[in-house]
Amino acid sequence: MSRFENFEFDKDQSFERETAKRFSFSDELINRHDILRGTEKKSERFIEYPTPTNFNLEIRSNLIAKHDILGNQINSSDYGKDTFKIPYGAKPILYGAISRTLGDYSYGDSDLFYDLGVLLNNFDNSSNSKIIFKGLIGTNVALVDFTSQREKGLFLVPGCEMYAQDVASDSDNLTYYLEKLQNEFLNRFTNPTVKQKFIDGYSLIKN
Amino acid sequence: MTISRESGHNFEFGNLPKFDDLEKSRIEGFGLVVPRLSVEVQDIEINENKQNPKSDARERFLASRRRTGDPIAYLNPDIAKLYNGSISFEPYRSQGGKASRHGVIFGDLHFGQNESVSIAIKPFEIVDGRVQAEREWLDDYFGNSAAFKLGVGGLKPVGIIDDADHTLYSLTVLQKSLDTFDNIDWSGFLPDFQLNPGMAELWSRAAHSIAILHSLGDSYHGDLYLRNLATNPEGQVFPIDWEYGDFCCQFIDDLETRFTNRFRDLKNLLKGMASPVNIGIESGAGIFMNTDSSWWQAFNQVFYSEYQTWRMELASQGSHHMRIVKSTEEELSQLDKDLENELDLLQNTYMKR
Repeated sequence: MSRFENFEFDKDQSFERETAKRFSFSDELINRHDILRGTEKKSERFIEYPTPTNFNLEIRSNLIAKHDILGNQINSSDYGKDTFKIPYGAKPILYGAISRTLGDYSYGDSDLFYDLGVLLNNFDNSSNSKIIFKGLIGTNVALVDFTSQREKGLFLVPGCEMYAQDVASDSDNLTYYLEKLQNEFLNRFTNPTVKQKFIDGYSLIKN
Repeated sequence: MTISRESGHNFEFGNLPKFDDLEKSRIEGFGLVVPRLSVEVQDIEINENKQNPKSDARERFLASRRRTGDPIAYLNPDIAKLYNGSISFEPYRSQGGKASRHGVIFGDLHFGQNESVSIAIKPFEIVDGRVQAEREWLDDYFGNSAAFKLGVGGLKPVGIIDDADHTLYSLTVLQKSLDTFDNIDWSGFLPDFQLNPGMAELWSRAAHSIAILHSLGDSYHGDLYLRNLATNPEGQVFPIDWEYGDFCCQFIDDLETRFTNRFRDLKNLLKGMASPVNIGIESGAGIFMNTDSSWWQAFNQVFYSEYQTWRMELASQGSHHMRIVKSTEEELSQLDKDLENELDLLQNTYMKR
């Protein structure tokens, strides 16, 4: 953009700043920061947070092995901090409007909540014992839009493992998640078809 | 509930009868055109010194191009240089961009094995003769090009494709990191907008961007709904989709002309903010639905006061600022009255339901 940019800065000067709130995965509770770094000509996006302990680290490793974690871990120069480079346009699913589009080339709420069910099932089974996700789902799940049909579009955000909690083996996680999603997504999750898609995904019923 | 704009059918979401996937048809149609393309360089540049740069570029293109009846891609020079005789298309799946009037599709244009460009493709079907479709097609392409060059919005132009008597296509670079205002859930924004600083910042930046556009001579967007306001991870906000816009970089003395174009832009924006959330091309954000007090007051707080401040600030710059300041004051005074009436009408309409 020329003389009418919203930002006034030198295009070649390097910068570091927090990602805009609409896109941001920053979370004070787990000290996770979502940062843009680079120059105006080429900037990249990173998530950084304190290195997890063994319990959480194991969960994250298992999720990475399933390709469920957003982005790729890179070497961090800061001891005690983990850094992930993530897709520039990834955004939390929490702030999205209702999307009822259908079709082979659309990714509406029906597809999204099905994939979310699969992700949460993978999360609950990513430790030696049964666990449950106790954080805000909407800011710990990322949508990467404009993907080819063979690519995934929904991921867990690095740091989500910090919200893992042990539960009894007969814990009814599905009912817990249904209530949680209703509270977080309100009208977006009211539709019975969308709800059923989530249940199918969590139950690993083929879509 | 009515859904699925692509199908053109209305049906209850709970039951899913067979429907026509129009989007898939458009994608497949484009996919069939691409391998048959010959490529030429599109070297008509926007001349920002012209009174109407969009129209000027459109006329120069029409005068210079030759039609052969075979599909031709006129690509911008830095894209055309990637072409080595081989070109193919791989479509994307997407959540965003579904509210477009023309049914925009997305994908990668591959030039051989090593080069590719992510693009947004807007089709213009030739239905009632070529003239109308051609005008819309070139207005879209050169409108976007002008906006991009003038720095008031728009996306990087890629080129245009002429598929003879079937469909015309306008192409821009796809910025995958963009999101549009109609993709955001605004239901929790008001009345306590101070508790939603990220959302408040988006509207503040929208006010700035639109004020800049309206301060550029007699320029306007023409279709300023929420689906045409974009934001990115840097927090910038700018209008996209310039088919109905125009740029007149010189100041126009006629108050009525200036007022009419600004009023249309801001009225469309108001309608998008105020209309309830529905599923359809005219779906709104329902931003004011939780506001007990005057919607006009809320609109001022989150957008309009800042827009006015920027308009006056921009008017006071430049060599003829005294005349422009006075004209801007007159224009804003008229806009005040008419926009307030418009919003009161919308409030009465939607709150009665």
